[in-house]
Amino acid sequence: MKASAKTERLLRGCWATLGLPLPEKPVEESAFGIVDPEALIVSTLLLPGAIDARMSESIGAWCRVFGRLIHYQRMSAIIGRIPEASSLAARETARRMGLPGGSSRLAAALGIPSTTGSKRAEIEARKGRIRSPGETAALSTFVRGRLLFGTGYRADLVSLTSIRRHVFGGPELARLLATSPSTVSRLLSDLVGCGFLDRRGRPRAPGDEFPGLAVSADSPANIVAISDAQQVRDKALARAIEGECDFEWDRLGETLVSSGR
Amino acid sequence: MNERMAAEAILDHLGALAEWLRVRAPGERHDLYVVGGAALALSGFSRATYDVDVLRPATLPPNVREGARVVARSRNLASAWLETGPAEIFRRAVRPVRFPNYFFETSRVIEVGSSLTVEVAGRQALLSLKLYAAGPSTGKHLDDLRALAPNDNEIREAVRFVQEIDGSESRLRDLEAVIAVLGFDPHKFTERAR
Repeated sequence: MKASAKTERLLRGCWATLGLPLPEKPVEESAFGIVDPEALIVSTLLLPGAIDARMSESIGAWCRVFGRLIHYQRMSAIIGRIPEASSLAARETARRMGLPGGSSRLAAALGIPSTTGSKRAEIEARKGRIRSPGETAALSTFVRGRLLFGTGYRADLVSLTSIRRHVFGGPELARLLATSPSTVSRLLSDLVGCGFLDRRGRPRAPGDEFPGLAVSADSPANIVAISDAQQVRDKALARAIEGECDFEWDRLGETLVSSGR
Repeated sequence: MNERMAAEAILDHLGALAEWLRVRAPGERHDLYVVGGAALALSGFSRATYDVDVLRPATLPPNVREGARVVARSRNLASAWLETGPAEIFRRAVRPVRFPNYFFETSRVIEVGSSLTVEVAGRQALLSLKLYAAGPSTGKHLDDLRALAPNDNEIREAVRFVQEIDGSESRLRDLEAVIAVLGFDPHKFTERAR
């Protein structure tokens, strides 16, 4: 799928937020929304035209540096939610990018053999240029949350509660976290029980607040839908496919539609 | 929201479904064995229908179901415009239904797209299903039966099909009434006559 310049800028800005050495300004989460790392990885694999060879290698290096902060189970779930043909295409892009770059956990999450990935030397050479997780925590809510609470759904749920005026329902949270409603219910109950959240699921002591999500677990499905809509000849059908998208928590996908119209 | 579809509209909607499948599930191929009003319309009868009834597969595959939902949205159709209602009815029948061989005959095969083929049920299958669905006061099915203008042998085969599924007295009475409405002597065809 051909991404517009606006989409490419946002995608690269999101990666800059996560610590990739790019000339683009990092996306300010306080203005644009939180960047979900696993959703960004999968979205990037669905937009191969938006990244060049150097960025590919940098992403590979980022996956090595941030390996312990990647929620592999989540990534696998996000990939599992997109149609099979698109997930196969994403896996092919991952292979071309040189992933998994020796990481067996990343290989399992992406569903590709760990032996693939021919650019290990290039990826290794780029590791030194990636911003450290500690430094990245200043820009990325998800990274900060995972450094504080560990890489898991609990940390990500805490991050999502920092979205301004959020009134998430359980199923919506489950969708954004890419996990089951029962997991969300258990975590919410813990967070209410310990007094971190009030009965309405809002933080009792709000800290930084964010306007939404720049890239979320909804983004990959939206990208696939927009890509599909661009491929069908029937205009009414294309509109209906686009109409299936939910951009409430997806600024990245939104740029694809606004540029295509 | 719930407009009747003539043959042209049916093919248009199925074409959109094929288009969706081509993009969303490349490599998948689906065959739909269509019966009912849609089959009549696609066989050239002047007929419009609210839905496209599929007998095989007995359950729509997930991608077909999903595509049908998007097509319904694109064309403002009822959500169940493509359904397996007949298959569902026979699944719930009192006696297990063994479809005669003529249910594997088709009157027309339409390659709607590279991903979708529609097989229109053959004449005898349509007659048998229509007779099964018809009651003495179900105008639509009686009209379809009249339009098909069956001969004695076709009525006999259709009666056999219906009675194998439902041998009840009330069904027998209905059958006789329908056959009489169609202008045949019911006692020539029903089990009670033999």
